[in-house]
Amino acid sequence: MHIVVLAKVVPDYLVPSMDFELKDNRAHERYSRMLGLYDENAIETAIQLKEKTSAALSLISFGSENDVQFLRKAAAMGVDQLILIKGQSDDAAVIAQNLMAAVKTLGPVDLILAGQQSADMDRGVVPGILAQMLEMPFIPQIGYIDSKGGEWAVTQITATGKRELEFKGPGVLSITSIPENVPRIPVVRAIFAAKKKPVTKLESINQGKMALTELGVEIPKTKSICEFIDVEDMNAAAKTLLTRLTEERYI
Amino acid sequence: MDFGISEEYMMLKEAMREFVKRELLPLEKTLLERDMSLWTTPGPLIPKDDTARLYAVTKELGFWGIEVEEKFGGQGLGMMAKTLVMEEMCKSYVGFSPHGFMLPPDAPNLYYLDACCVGDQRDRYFIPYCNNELDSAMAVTEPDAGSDVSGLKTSAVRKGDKWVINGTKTFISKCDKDNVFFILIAVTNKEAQTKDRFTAFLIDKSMTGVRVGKEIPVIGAMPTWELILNDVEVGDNQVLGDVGKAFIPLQNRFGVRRIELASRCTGIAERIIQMMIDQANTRITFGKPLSERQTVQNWIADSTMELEAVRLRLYYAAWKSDQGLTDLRIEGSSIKVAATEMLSAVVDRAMQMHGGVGLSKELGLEYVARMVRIWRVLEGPNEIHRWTIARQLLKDKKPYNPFIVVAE
Repeated sequence: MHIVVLAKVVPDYLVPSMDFELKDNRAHERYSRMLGLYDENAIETAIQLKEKTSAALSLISFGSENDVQFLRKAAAMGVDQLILIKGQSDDAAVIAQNLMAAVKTLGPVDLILAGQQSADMDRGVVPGILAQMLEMPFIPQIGYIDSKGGEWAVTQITATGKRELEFKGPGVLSITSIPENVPRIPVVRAIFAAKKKPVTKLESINQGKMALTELGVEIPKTKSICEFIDVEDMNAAAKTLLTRLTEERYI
Repeated sequence: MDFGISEEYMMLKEAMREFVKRELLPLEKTLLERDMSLWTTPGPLIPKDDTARLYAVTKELGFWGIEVEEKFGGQGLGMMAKTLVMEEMCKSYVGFSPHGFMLPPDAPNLYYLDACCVGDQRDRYFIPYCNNELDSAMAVTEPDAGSDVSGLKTSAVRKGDKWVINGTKTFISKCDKDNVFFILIAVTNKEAQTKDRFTAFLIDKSMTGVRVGKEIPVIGAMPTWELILNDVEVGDNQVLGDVGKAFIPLQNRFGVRRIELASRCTGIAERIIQMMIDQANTRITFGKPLSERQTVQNWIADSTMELEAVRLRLYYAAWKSDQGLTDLRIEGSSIKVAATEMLSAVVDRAMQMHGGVGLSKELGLEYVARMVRIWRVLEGPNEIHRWTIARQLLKDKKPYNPFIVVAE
């Protein structure tokens, strides 16, 4: 069995977006870079599946050569090999096409996992396009995955509830965060062994121009207003907070 | 000269940062609240269940014995790796305080024990110590002798095939622990020169004649006790190292200890500078944020310059230790002094910047201020360390030489 997990290296998602300084329309290089938030949930889910099914586990990423150092964390967590496609396109279709080419170098794969949306663009469309290109089913927002005699049993988790699903054969799943897929902290020995795992670098294909032109990027400055809520009584504080959030129409 | 950091070291830092976020930061409130009631309700600052969990998680992650050789169950990654891990851990009050959480085993004592334990001492003390089943405390200081050990009075007198030990030790830590043994220093030959006068003994709390005296409250969270020895009889199998040679192996223990202490200071100082930045950016007085006041800017700039100067010096000492160079007397002394004085200044500015909240027990800055005040005395007062540095340079008749050519 061969499982593939897709991941993207993004600028520090803990920095509030309005604090970002842009250079050439992208986050300045001085911000630290890291694996995307949901991507780490996908990696953790993939590693748990690998441990359950003794599958081989490959990670594929589309990005810059400099991203390998951040992808290496996935190797320390338990991914067997890293594949980087060197490219700069922001076009979801171009990225999907490149990911497909990389998947095909692996021979038959059984399952492709991805984070449900990237931590920088928040689009969540690449896995869907990839599935279409590969002619595989695409199921978004998956929490739990189980392998049942040649079939996959998965649980889709939405804001309002969950849905149990089953399918046969390979598929592309986008992974949401659940308590069970909080990314593991890599153990010290694995950190020092991570560099021994193979890294393949591929040139990108069909790096054609996007069908649209980027004219500008702007992150609006928002004003933050701080309001303290008395917490003498936790229940009362929670009620006050709920009332305030409703009043201000945040919820 | 290479100032780059390896991917592995960065991942190691990140792994510890994540552990701190998940496990140590949530315990900060507990630690600060327990610290307030320490003298009326004695006991550990972190509840035993939590400590047990922290031990289990850190063991699983491989954080035990980062710098300890693999043959003793450690990771064998050296002092640089240990320093980076310690700095990250000490960005939380729980990791910063030796009374919060410490990664076992305590390497300086481990190497001292390894150098000295012979025969069945290895099974009785050294191996249980490596496995965190036993804890150890040094018992040197006495009412009349601290940095100057020539005033030590506790004596071990030969009687048949036994040693009879009498005396009173003071400021001895860990006396509340059930599984502690003491490395006790006693006079075995009063007439001899200092270097031949003292012997180290392994003393169990349960031995007849050993009594833990009253607890001695001090400025911060440093629970210490008196340790009283009344006709304690031990055999030669409790002598640690050679008779009359207590202090020679002891000296080797200090370089590593000082690197560790300095990394506690640089770790928490970085956290405190973060607190200063956040406060400066959000607190508004007289219509302007603190961040626009020159004095506040100076506090942040000075704190950063002082921290980074110490940090590079600390990394240098750790690197030098990893090159197999064991004479770290000047490096150890200088980072001990520089780091504790840097943190004293940084935390003091942070308290001033935070005003009333800075003084509150809730924020934790005052806990750090009290802890670092202790550290300017503990592990050798800073003045003794300055003396050590100056004495060496004056003896060599040359300024300090930091340059080491890297072997090809």
